[in-house]
Amino acid sequence: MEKRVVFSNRWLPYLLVAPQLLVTFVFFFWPAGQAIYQSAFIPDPFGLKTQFVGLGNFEYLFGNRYYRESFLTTAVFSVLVTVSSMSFALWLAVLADRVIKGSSAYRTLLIWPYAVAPAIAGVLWLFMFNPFTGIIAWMLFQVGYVWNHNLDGGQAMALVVAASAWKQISYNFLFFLAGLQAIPKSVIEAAAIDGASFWRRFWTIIFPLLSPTTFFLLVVNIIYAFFDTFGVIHTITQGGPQQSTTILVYKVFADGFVGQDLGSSAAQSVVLLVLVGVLTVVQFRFIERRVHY
Amino acid sequence: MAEIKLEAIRKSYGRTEVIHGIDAEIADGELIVIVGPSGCGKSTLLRMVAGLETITSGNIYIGDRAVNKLEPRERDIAMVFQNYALYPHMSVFDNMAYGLKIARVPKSEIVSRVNEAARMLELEPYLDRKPRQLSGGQRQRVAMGRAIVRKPAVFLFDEPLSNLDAKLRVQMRLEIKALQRKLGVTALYVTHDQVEAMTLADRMIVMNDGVAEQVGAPLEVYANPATLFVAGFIGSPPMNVLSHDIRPGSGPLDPGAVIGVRPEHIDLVAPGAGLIDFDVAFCEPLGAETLVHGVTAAGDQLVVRIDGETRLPADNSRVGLKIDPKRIMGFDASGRRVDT
Repeated sequence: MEKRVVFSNRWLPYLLVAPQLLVTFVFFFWPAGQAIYQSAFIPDPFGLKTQFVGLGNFEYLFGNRYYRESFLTTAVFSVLVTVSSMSFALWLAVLADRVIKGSSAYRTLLIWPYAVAPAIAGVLWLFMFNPFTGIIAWMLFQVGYVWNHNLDGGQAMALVVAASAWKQISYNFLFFLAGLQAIPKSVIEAAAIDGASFWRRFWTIIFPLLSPTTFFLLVVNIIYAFFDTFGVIHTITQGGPQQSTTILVYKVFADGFVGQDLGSSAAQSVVLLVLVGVLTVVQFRFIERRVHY
Repeated sequence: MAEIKLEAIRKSYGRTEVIHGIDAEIADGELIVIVGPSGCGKSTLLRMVAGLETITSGNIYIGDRAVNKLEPRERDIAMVFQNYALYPHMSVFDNMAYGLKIARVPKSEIVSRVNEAARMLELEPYLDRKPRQLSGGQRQRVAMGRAIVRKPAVFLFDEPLSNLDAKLRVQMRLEIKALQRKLGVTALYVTHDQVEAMTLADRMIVMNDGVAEQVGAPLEVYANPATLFVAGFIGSPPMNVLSHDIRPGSGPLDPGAVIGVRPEHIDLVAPGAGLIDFDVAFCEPLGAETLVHGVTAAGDQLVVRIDGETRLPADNSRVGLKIDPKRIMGFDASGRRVDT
């Protein structure tokens, strides 16, 4: 049954949605419109005047090797962040779900990292992995492994992935735990009586019943990896070494505000906007179909 | 096929003991109903047999194996849950086939066993459906089907009918009994409904507060309750309890002791002609029978069950109660039966 409120005043409903619309307009439509508008211009070196170039910025972008590589970097980065933070969070949630004594203490502790701002999370990990003073870098050196993410692109990627994933684990953990607790105990007991071992129960009963949660987190995590990890990358690697950690959103910033190429930066924003839109549609159209039961 | 033996089963949660030593022997192919009010520990006892709860002390044998330390899956049992516990993401077929697939039964045999169970339970048209597309009664049958395809040594039922409406409950009760007879599998059945217990059981275990008050065949338990609790729990309306002895030639009862008499063992006669007189408060005509409520001169409340076609005594009238003294049972202050 549909519940509907009928307003007698014609303008009241508009007035009530106005604040939401205003916020959406100021912080989304306006900047997005600006980005689309600016992507058709290039400014002169001093930023005094701009010249219309049509789709020239886009043409230049896709001809640029660094931009194409940034796509690959972003793909690798987001897959690693999403997979590692989700699988680790699921593992913790399964363990926390089995704990009876002191479960609320574990839960609270595991949720804490979510309260840490991305930039601070980045600095925390930077301190631990600083090639000269970081404790973990020192430990690695003791066992004969040289850690220097300022020189090694692979290590830099591993570090930003670890910091970004670590921050997101809490969020994923919370949803996975709620999802696990929503599965009726008797269904799992029925499977146990039917002869399924713990892992068999996990893969054939628990994991499929968690799929709505998993799908939701998949979307949230990919969007997180695409956008919210800016602070982590900016504090740890600034996109280096040799652009090995320059994901698309970082390149928007680097080209626009460091390189002062606002036209190209705006064009990249537009590409990113389209990309996330397409990704979300794809996820909902194709993956969501398989998670209903 | 197997016997079940329970030896001094106890269960504690921390320092609180909830099951205080239960002994029972269940013969092969027998249907035993564990009946008692909610919170008496009957479901806990069943879950201990299933292996879903640990056993604090005592032994459980299924067949000739002690199963205390075995996982549920190693006990050769199948269980039907109160909420059915079907796998919501699997079709009816897959729900029933799940245990067989795990046991690595050959595919052709899985298909034939599931189809046979589906035919027996009239589930054939629904094999491709998901549980959410079925009615309560159909889900109940799927849960039964899931239990029978595995051909276990023991069936465990945990209040399987309590989520169904009254009419369906009566129908499923008969089906469960027929099915259990046909398959000849030992079954333990938990319920709080004494009618269900009476109609289903070969023998029943009446539980109260973690203690087995009485074990026996339904009619035997009904005719000869071992304790006051059993006397009050089995039978509807329950046994009348009087704190004043009305048996001819008897003295006053010991403090706390009572006597009991079933409502159907009392006949209404003219005042003074019976064992005792009582004042009718009101009548409940139920069609086939009428329940006459009233109070004796000594202040004991009584219910008398009379035939539905007998003329009703007027409210507030005084009538005599004719009771065969041999039908009166005595209970001591602790509720134990004392035969006099």
